[in-house]
Amino acid sequence: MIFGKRNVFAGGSGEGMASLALNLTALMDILSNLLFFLLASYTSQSVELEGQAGLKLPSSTSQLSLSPQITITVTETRIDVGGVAVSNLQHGGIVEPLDKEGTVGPLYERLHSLKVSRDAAGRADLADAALVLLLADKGTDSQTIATVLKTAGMAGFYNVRFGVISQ
Amino acid sequence: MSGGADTTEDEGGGSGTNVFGEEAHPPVTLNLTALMDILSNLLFFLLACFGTTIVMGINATVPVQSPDKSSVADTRQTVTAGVSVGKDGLDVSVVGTAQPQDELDAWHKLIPVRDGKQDYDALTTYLYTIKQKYPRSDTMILTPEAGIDYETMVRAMDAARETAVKVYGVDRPVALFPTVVVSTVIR
Repeated sequence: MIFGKRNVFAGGSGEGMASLALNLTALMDILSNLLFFLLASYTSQSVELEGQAGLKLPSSTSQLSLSPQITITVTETRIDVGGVAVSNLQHGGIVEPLDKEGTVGPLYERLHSLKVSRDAAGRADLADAALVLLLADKGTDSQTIATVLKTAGMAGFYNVRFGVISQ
Repeated sequence: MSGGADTTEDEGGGSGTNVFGEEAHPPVTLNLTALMDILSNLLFFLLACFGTTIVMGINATVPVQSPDKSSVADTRQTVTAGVSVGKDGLDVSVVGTAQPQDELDAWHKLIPVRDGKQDYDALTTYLYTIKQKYPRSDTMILTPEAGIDYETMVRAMDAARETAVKVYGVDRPVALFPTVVVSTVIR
């Protein structure tokens, strides 16, 4: 990078300063190293989670990484599957009445339809065919969590991975 | 490496020829301004992303009725630990099919809350004691009672997953009960 003999501060006439050369090699080296390091770190996290109102994940010492899969989100006010709201919560409890088997009807129907479509697509034999990711607010009542898990299990998703913030 | 319109670079040596006696090439100038702009923008973008929280996972299952398979421990060295999380504390018990009932009952223990908080360290210590007696055990049934929040469940799973044990002065992780089955209280 060169500052020319005549810069904006030197006026339009007369002799300017002598040209000044900046050796940027070291800076470019540092920037390139930082760039590749940050690029590698950026791609190492395979799942990007969008922040939602009323959702604060609990922290944990677990080091198990996440992989993209069907996501059930339990916030302070609602339950959704893959971003589609299926039930509402009030004071930590599920607003809609449970069905006779103790499951959440709309949640079951949504998960069951997803399970059927995945099986029809030939994904029934995959290792994560029965796996669902649960992102729940840390203040959620455990009975709500248990009800959601029971509903997921009834729909064929009996393996669950709890999403937590790494400590 | 430098950029600019009229760079004059020192070619080295006092004469106009290089070590092979050839005439020196005219100085080459690279304008790196655009590259620096791109790199700087990328750098700040990636630095901003790097600061976001990292989300990890904890595996668990829900109880499944199966006619041909059972997850209840069926060897002498295996038991299934049961941890019930309540407002009074952590109620620990063990079940198994290869041990006499009085032996299993002897492991039943309530770890009371301490200073208004669950005593996760005591849970880890007690589960490690069970693990030493039944070293092939790895399954825990977690039963949260009503009124217990999700974070408490996660903390209990953390406490039961592994612990650090000193081996020749070096801390080594020992798996306790990493396979978690989340159950519920039937009322």
